[in-house]
Amino acid sequence: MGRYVIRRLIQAIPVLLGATLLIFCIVFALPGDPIAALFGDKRPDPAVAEVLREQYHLNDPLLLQYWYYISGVLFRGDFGVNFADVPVSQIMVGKFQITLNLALTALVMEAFIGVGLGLWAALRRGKATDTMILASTLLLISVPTLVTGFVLQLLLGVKLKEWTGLDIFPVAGTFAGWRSYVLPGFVLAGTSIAYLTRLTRTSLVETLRADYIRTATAKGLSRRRVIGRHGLRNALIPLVTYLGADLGNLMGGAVITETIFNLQGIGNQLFTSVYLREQPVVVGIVTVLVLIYILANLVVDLLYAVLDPRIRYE
Amino acid sequence: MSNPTPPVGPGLPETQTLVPDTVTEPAKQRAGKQAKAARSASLWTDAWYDLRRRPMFIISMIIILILLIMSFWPSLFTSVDPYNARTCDLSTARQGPSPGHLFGRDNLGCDVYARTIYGARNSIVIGVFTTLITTLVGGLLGIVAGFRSGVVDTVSSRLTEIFFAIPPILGALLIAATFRGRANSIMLVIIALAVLGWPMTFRIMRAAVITAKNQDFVIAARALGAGAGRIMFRHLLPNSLAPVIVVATINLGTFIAAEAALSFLGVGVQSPDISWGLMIADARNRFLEASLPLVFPAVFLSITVLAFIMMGDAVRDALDPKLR
Amino acid sequence: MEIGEPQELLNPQNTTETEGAEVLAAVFSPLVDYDENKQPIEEAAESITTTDSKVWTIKLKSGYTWHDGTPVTAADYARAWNYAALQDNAMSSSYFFGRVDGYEDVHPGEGKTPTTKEMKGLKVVDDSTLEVTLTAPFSQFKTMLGYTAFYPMPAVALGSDGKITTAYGEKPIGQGLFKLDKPYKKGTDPTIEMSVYDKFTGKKPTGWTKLQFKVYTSSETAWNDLQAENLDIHDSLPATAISTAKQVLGDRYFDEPDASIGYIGVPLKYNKDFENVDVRRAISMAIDRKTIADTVFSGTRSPADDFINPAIPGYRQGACTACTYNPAEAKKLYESAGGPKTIELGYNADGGHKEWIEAVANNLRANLGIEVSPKPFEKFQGILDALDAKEYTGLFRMGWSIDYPSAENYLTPIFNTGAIGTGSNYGGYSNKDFDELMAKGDQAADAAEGLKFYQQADDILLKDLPYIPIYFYRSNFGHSTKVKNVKLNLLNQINWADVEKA
Repeated sequence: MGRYVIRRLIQAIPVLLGATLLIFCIVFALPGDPIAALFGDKRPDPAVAEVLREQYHLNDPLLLQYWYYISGVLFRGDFGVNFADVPVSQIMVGKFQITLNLALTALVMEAFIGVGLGLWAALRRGKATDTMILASTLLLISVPTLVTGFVLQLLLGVKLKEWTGLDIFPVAGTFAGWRSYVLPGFVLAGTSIAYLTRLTRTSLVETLRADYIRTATAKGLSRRRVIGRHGLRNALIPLVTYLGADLGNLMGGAVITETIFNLQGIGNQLFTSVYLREQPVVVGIVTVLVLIYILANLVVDLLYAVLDPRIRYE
Repeated sequence: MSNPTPPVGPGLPETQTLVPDTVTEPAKQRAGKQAKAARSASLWTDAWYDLRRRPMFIISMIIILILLIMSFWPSLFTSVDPYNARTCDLSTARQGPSPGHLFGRDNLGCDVYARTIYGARNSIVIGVFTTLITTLVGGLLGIVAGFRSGVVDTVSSRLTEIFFAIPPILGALLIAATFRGRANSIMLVIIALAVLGWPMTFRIMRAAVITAKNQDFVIAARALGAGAGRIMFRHLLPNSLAPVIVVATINLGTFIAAEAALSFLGVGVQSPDISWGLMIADARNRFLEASLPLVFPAVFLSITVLAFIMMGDAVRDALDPKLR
Repeated sequence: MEIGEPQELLNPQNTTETEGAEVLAAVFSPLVDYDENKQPIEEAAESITTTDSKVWTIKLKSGYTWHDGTPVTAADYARAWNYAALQDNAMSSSYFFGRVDGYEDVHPGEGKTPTTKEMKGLKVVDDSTLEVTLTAPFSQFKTMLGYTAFYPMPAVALGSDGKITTAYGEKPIGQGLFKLDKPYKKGTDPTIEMSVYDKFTGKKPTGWTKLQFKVYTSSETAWNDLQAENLDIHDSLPATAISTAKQVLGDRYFDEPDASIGYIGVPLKYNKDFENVDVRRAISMAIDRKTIADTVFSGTRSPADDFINPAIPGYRQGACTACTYNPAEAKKLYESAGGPKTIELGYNADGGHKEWIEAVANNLRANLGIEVSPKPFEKFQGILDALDAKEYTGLFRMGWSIDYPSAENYLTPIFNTGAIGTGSNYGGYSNKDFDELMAKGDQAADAAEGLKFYQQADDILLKDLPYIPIYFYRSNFGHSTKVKNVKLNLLNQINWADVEKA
């Protein structure tokens, strides 16, 4: 086990380097002059644009640019600056904090709501409850986040306070501590809840048919114990896989939720920076995201062995 | 294969609710007919035989058939041609239902009903093909990685980690830039969504295979000298398919909806072409003023996903060896 | 107070976008402000005089001090302007100083090195007098001086390397009404906090001293925050909120003209299809501006009928005859002029232009009976690149917000022959008569005299339609019940000294 973990961590190094180079190349390959884009609808003064291009090494060949970047990171711990000369490390620290809070809130919500609904549906398989749950999860898929976000913000953020005087869900920003993340966390978790509900239901229905469940039932164990101890535990593998893979998604892809609730996090920053072609920012954020993916996947792979004793890692 | 005997637990009332009738009934029937079919039929013909008698499958197929007819001959369902600009009247924008305009008008004063019908084709093509590609690619790689482990697993798993990390907008922009003018817009969307979508299927398939490969029937098959291909496709695939089908059928819906996000970057379906994703995206900003232009394509999208989920469930049940 | 995230650090000479300018306007006091008649009046300046529109003498008011207590001198203005103009500093506002004598020396152009660091046209006469010499007479110079780029710069802004320090960019020291409480860490801080500067000699607000700018990524969100009374002033209400805002806010909702214009640009230089002026007139007449302004924009725009915006002196209502919706006439004209059967309509997808472009496309399809395909570009620069590379030759959307409130600013930068390539004349329109009239206006004895020539130049545009004006922007703003007397000035910035607690 220990050796397995160490091996996986060593593998992470080429993955990280590969990912930075890949992302660097992609941003480089995108058409459009990043400097000109800074000037919106007006054409930049050619001389000013030239000086800026020189300043950000944009006239150099790709590999030299990458060398400037990676040597800064490796030898000086310097992640570069964006086009407003703000250090990338400064941008990342504050924003990752916000995004991590948001993503974890969403992850906890989808785990509890998704698995809970799925469990319920599985136990009431074929009944009205099952159909209702299916229908409501479908709604989560087909209604865009923007709509659920604004509707919930208006109802629970603005109107609830107006009608009852209770200020439970803040409209926007991070000024109210953990409460600020409840509503956006739920909105962000929306589609994932649908996936998890369906996965849990299918997985559990499947497991409940397995021989050992029949054995456990035949032994006279209580229903709660059969489902909790034998059924759910073995049904967890696809769920854990999904959750592990989803964490990164939630962190990097929360643009709309972050925008609606004015959480100035990574998703938004990544979007803007890709738009502005700010290589150091994009690469910096993506590198941290890759690291999170690697760790999440490692944890998931280790959990397989915990959940199913037949799985071994050497 | 596992024991086909239905669970019997006399004196244990829980059993009845635990394993509902719907599950045991077909299993019982099949047990009786097994003698006839088992010898000659393969896994897949067996499944087909089974499917034809499932109401859920039949209902879902009817819905899908209607959707397909709608895609190919939209004019059967509406006399309004939404591709004709004269049918839109900006001054009636966001008006509610009226005679001749059952679902009301959208932000540009076009008929929502006709657009929803005409939008089916692009949306369904995008949804179905993207799902097929991601499931095939992710599923195949997932089976091989989960079964082989070792170097194959390491390389493909690390590869997905990098793919996961490419921000969708970055990937989509790159694909747009690379293929601009070289592929039609629908193909571009499918390529973009597929490239970004397969890693999730990979992870799910791999996990299911890792669980399944340690089970007795695989070990038994291996002891009997079955080749890798036979074990993977005959034994592992049917036993690991359930979660993949779940993810695939839901993906179908998210792909249809996600298509609109790409059109924003210049990759997706572009006006004057119509798709549900585009309609939903266009209507969402004014949702509070006029909800119908969003609700109708969303309902059609939901029904489509529902049909595919039902079909997926039925296929899964039919393929599942444990139900035999 | 709501803002979007400033694009750059808070440095007046490098700020040419509205969000940063709004923050800086609270921290700095401009040389001139604008009165109710939209005319420049002295603010930090005692007087601004000239005899020939070429040599301008600026006398500063006494008593102005920087937020660190040191007095403001004429040298501080010269320092700021020289810094902005110097090519090596790559300041986005450098072009504002293009008319000052000696600009060529500090800003010789791409690939050339400046020969000096100071413009010879700037002369510090004494601590309170600055003399500016222009290369050619320019009657509108005084109007320009209210803009962000012309704010002064204290000596402490510059580091030992002669560049503006990061510390200054995060916490600029101004000479205006408000002083920043703490450095603004761009990209991290969700607010910018400031309080009234005690030693400010101009008008101060009564009853309050603290001002907080809240950075929002979505104006819809800010609108919800305003409804919940978490925000006091929102000056860019989105079109989606207008109908509810009118109900909810009542007399706290305002709708005023804004000086920006939206056009459909015509690639005259790139595409012969649009050479015939009747084709352009027909397209213009086929567009139902009124309905677009009312439904697509919910009244946050008004139909355009001139090349000069109603917020600025010189606008003439109904001047553009081809801007009146007349589908029947349009179709006849288009067919007789032999307009193209298919038209592309380019727009940048990042600016919320999709809906109105689609509406225009529908107008053209229905009224002219032609194929129109809207074509999104990721960014506006993408359209320009594609035009230059001859990959794209269709119509394109274009917007213009003024740099200084003069009619001249709607004409020269967009339509002058000299603005092809370096300025914003993207379509490549060139007309000698127009150029001459503009030059006459620039050399006029005073601003009013100049305006007459500008209007004559405007008439040429209205006849030629090099671009098709579609809409004028409007400022839609509202405030909470906690404040009152919120007013915008000509640059759409709030007059903070007038705002009161309710």
